[in-house]
Amino acid sequence: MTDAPAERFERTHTATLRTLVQYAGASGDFYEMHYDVPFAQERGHAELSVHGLLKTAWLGQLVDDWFGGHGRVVSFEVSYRDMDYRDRPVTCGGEVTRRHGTTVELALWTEDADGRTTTTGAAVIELDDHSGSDA
Amino acid sequence: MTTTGTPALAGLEAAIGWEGPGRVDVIERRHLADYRRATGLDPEGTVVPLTICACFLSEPPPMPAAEAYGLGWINGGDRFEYAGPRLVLGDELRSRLRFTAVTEKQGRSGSLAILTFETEFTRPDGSPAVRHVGTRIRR
Repeated sequence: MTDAPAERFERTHTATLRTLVQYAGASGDFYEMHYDVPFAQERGHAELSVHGLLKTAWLGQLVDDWFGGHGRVVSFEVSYRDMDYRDRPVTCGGEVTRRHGTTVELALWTEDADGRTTTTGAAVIELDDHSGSDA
Repeated sequence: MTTTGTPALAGLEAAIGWEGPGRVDVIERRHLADYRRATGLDPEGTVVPLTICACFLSEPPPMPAAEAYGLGWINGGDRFEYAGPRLVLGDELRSRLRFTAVTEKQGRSGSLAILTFETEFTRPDGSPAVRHVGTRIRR
């Protein structure tokens, strides 16, 4: 039996107004589009949008949990394709796309409740030499 | 009044090379707890998330030339590159936001400007810790 990490993994988060305000306070990103409904509506958004970097933080947790500290992250990137909004579930996912030596590449994404991909991304992880070994 | 199109784009192009103020940030226990809580993690945990440098980016970018283009900001993407040992509680980081590129595109709702900002986070001895590339959109 092996304890190798799963090849595909997902987790769902839902940001409430409280979450968005907490994130604004912790990150210092007080752009009004994330907590001021009239401000957001004036810019064409029906609702308060989730900070892109909050979604990235969620994806980063997936990456961290996947390799469990047995290595190091070389790079981690995301591209935001569409908005996610408060009180709506955001499914964060990842999948191993390539292994070469101790290097692993992951594809990352977020999906909204309608199944639309709202973020795409990738991470490169350099695993410790013994990681993934059955020895 | 804000505008889009060539005159406003010219202002952005002229701003390439703009740098924000230098920053010195320390990963402090209370701040770490706040960030972990806000992102759904146990605030008592001590592992520093991969994205902690998002807290040290000055968002949205405080570049005056950007305000002249469009009505607001959208985040287009983020890239983090890591060097050296992983960041831990108590680490001090020095950084400065730099505006490095701009392109204009026609979107569904009109013109938009795609701006690239780069930030090198270094340790007090000058060694690199994290490089961030942010794509920010004005429309």
